[in-house]
Amino acid sequence: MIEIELDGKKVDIVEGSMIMHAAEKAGTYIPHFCYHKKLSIAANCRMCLVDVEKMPKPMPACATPVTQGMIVRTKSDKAIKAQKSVMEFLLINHPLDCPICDQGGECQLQDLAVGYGGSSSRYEEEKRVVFHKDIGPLISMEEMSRCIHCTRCVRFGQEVAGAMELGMSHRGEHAEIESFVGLTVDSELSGNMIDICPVGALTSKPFRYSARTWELSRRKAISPHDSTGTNLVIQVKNNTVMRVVPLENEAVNECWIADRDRFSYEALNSAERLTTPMIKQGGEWKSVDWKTALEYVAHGLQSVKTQHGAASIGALVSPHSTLEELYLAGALVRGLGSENIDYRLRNAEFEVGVPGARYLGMAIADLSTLQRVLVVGSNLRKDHPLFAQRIRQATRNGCVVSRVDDQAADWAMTVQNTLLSVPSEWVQTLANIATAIAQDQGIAAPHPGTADAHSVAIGKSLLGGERKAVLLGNAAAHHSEASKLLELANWIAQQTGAKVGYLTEAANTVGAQLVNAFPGDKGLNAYQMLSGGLRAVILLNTEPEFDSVLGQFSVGALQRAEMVVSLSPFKANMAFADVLLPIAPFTETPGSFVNAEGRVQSFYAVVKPLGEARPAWKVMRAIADVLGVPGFGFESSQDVFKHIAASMDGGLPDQIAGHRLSNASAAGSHMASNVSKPCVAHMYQLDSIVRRATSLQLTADGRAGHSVHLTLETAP
Amino acid sequence: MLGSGAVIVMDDSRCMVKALQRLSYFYMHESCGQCTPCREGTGWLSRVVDRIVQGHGRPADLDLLDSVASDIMGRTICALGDAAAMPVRAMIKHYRHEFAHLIEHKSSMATAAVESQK
Repeated sequence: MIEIELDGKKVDIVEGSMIMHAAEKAGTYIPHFCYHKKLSIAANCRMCLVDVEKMPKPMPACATPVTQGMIVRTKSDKAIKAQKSVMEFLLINHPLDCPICDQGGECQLQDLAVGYGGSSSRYEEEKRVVFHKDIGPLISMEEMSRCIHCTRCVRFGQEVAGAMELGMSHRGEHAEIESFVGLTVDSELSGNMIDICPVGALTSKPFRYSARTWELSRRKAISPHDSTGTNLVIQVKNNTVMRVVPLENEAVNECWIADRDRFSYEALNSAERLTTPMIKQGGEWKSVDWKTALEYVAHGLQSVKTQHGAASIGALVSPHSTLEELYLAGALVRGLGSENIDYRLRNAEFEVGVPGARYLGMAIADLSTLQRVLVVGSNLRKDHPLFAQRIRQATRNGCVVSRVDDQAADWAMTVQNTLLSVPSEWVQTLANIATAIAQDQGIAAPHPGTADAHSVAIGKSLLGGERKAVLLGNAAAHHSEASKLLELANWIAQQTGAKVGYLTEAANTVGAQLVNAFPGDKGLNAYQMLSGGLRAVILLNTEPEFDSVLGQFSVGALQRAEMVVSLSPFKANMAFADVLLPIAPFTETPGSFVNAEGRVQSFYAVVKPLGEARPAWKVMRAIADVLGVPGFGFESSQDVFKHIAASMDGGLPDQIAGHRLSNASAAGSHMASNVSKPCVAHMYQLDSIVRRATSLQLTADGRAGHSVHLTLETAP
Repeated sequence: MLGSGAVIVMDDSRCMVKALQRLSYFYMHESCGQCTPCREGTGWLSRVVDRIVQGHGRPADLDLLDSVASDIMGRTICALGDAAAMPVRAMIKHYRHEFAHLIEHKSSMATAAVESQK
């Protein structure tokens, strides 16, 4: 620690820090554009020039290391004069038409110009005009004349997204930000460039000119998509979600969000939303009121129960639903006397007697400091963009990444060892790595294998280093031999001192396990339910045609069922459903998600439900009331949460207690022998919201996801 | 060590405004565009000098040039900004009368001197 004097205040700061860090610590604001705490230092905007004693020239605060006894003045005449002259230079070629700029009102240049800009311009020559560019459906580069060349977007691409998709070309006044010969920006994190752009050069294409920042109310929410549990700020105008931006949470998403979290809101305002309950009568869909729909559902479920027994009723639920919804779905099905409920629609093997909820095995923040990691069966970058981002930061500090997968996808980071094999050989591949480790340690291997050169390399890397992990991706979790993969991963981790973790697929995969959204001993699992084991099916927030391992083969079984109730915010499942009940998506209902690390995050509704849609917890309470299922006397979603917490050993603290989470091996019941490739959702086909987000579907990744990948080769 | 082009010998038949026009154009062209004062400032200087040479100068331009040049000096990452600013300030300091003549008469003082000697 060294001490400096900043504007007369003493500040203690770690050696090697910059003046900017000391100012942040002291709570002093130094104007800046190019400096960003998560990016490398460029010192090219020169806005943060400050007066340092014994220095003849003003020094950039972001790039001047502190020294013992340094005396810094951020508001002396010399500093202010320097800052004002830089502001004048920035403004001479920047259009002075804030009222027609999309960034107006939330522009750093505009804000700082109030304090440092002149009231009139001394510049009377011609202004620079920079041609607009098209870099895809998410980011607008319509007004590149507004660019102030801070290069934050370029550094973001290089350092955080891992791919330099934007760069600065040409020199001097002709310098401009552009992509390489007209390519689009395809990063899964690209939207963050909009946030970090201090001016109106990079703006959100879907949001552009739809609202002004001061018209929007800002409300907190949690992303329902991947298992990061990304914290969001949802900006609302006239009861409509207008825009989604990150809420900074250093332990979860830092200050980034994936494009999936940012742009999925478009689906919430789309024409595909279901706004009234609908019943299919004589092959025609008819809008009805809630009373009629609920009575129809209750009557249908009741008659199936009397005719075929409660065991022919089942619920398929989505791990993107809230904890409360999943609990109530379970309570409803169990109240009817059935054990058939499952959230594992994409699984090909179903574990029995699981000792605790499968989870990441460590804190999300720990991913950033790993030194060795083996990732099994995951397209890490696309499936978990923010986990990949953290591991990318770890590789910059020397983390050795190894992977076992069936494709050498570009993860935009250094992957030292890639072991390619078809999914059916993954058990053998892991066994080979285990053998390599066993040979090195002089112990017996858990499974016969041959230690080939690649396995030895991966084994060696895992035996070195201190902080290490074996991570099982979605393909490993949905694998037809998932339990064997876990067993081998556990053995490898035990021998090398690594942690084992499931990346987990969805926002509430861990939560679904905590509220037992899977069948008891006598119940049917998702695969059995979808292959025709049911007479009455409740679908909560899921579309089996796209969300299950059976894919289109599930349609036949669902058509044969006597009663299919689809609870979805969208007009979904119309090919086989009998009743559509409109439920509220994550923005319109309170609820809680438990993310991959076991962090419980609750949120409120940010807007009112659209049309006749209702929060799913209310809908299920109403169904239970009509059916006479007891134990549904909840007044609010928070009531449900309290009830779950009270019924749970250890309750529901902000972080789930360790004994309720476990990645210990368990036996698996193998279901689908004709699954040649584990069922993994494409990045922009993950859930029913993302699937309907127009702009995301127009991206390169979105278009690639349109070709449906059949997991099953033949009907079950 | 004076660097390239650091010493240029010119006789009194040279118009110093035109000499500055050439120098300022050189620095504008050489600026890499990384940092703000140099990227924006060198172009500004060059354009104002250009305008003076074209005969559209105003008396206030001289103070403007001096002020813009001093705003660049010492605030850039590398020394190119300083190098661009120094000749502007020096020329205006030592040959202000030539600039003033050009602004007032819309023709170069050096040309007028050469003409009168004929």
